[in-house]
Amino acid sequence: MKHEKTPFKESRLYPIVFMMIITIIFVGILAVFYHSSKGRVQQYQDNAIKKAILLVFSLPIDHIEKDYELYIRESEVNKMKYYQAVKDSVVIGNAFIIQGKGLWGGITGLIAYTPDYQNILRFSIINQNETPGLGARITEKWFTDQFNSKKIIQNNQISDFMMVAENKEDLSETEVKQVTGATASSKAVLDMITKESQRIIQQIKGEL
Amino acid sequence: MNKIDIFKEAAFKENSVWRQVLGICSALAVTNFMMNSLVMGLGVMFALALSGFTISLIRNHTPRSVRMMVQTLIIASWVIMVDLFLKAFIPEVSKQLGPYVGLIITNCILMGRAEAFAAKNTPVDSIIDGLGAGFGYTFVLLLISFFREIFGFGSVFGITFLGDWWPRWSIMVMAPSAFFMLAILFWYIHQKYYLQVKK
Repeated sequence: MKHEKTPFKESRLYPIVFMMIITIIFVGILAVFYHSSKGRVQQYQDNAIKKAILLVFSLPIDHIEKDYELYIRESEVNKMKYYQAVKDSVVIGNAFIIQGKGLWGGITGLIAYTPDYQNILRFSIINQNETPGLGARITEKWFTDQFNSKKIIQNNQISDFMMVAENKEDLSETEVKQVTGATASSKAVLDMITKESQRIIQQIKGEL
Repeated sequence: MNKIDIFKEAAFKENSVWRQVLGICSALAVTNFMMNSLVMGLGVMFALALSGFTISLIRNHTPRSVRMMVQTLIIASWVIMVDLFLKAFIPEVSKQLGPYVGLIITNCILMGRAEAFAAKNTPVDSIIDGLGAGFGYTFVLLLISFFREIFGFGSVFGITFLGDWWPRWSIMVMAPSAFFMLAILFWYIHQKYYLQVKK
């Protein structure tokens, strides 16, 4: 009996070969695209961090790269990286990247202390995954600005901040207004600040 | 079928959300702000048109047994490219959308249109169908987010319309309101257009 040859397109091998070729083509295109945009993405991320660091010390941000070179020194203590701001040979303060747990995911913040670690200079949020419109309001300026110049050490202990309603007036040193409808996210920020400050200051000063 | 009819059918008559009940997860998730909805809608529209075009281009060579794998691969590649593009050129928008862009890959509308249209029609028609389906999806998202944003924040596209006198309904910003709004929309459209036609 004569064997008729089946066309390649109908053979069992065809789908496998086809899939392999198509995968190689698309993965190849993606790899090229990824590599060509990698530098840009990385540069943007670096700039975002540098901008946040300059802002946390209330330094100018007109020329991020130049201003960062001029004012910020990166140092390390006990394998913990920190950023020191120096203006006119005077140390303004030290900033640290801090992390906490939010309602849906991690929160990353930036906190700057005075050189004697008695007060917070300023605090900002770099990254968060809270509910848009509710918990995500923790990034709003009025909320983060509440920590400006607050005492972080009181009676030789880390300050215990208390949450109060958003519309309360005449706040005491330890009171912080919460975001209405976002108690969990507001609390997460307070917890992050106290826990991380405890850790950082303990490591810097060796005791507390 | 002429090109305008293809667009109209994909966008309205056979709308992916209210007619085929596809893409519901993202319609619920991103509709608390109109801006998020618009960018998500444009992302889906772009991914739909391009993946439809590519799938249609190779449709005569794609073996049936692996066609869905091929479609997923093509959709994922285009979505990753959109994601990378946003990260590199419009980082603010990319940051705001967070993981939503990557999740376009799992948006059922893309697989739905790939199977129902692109796998059987010409590349140009597939682009038009993709744009139409994407437009219909964006339309629904904007409609829902309009009501959620105006009642929840008193604003439209971030511009405040209802002043401080408006008691902001925080439920409109949270997940439950998305379900209510979507259900109301389904009910209204089916009452007004589809059930009438049947009679």
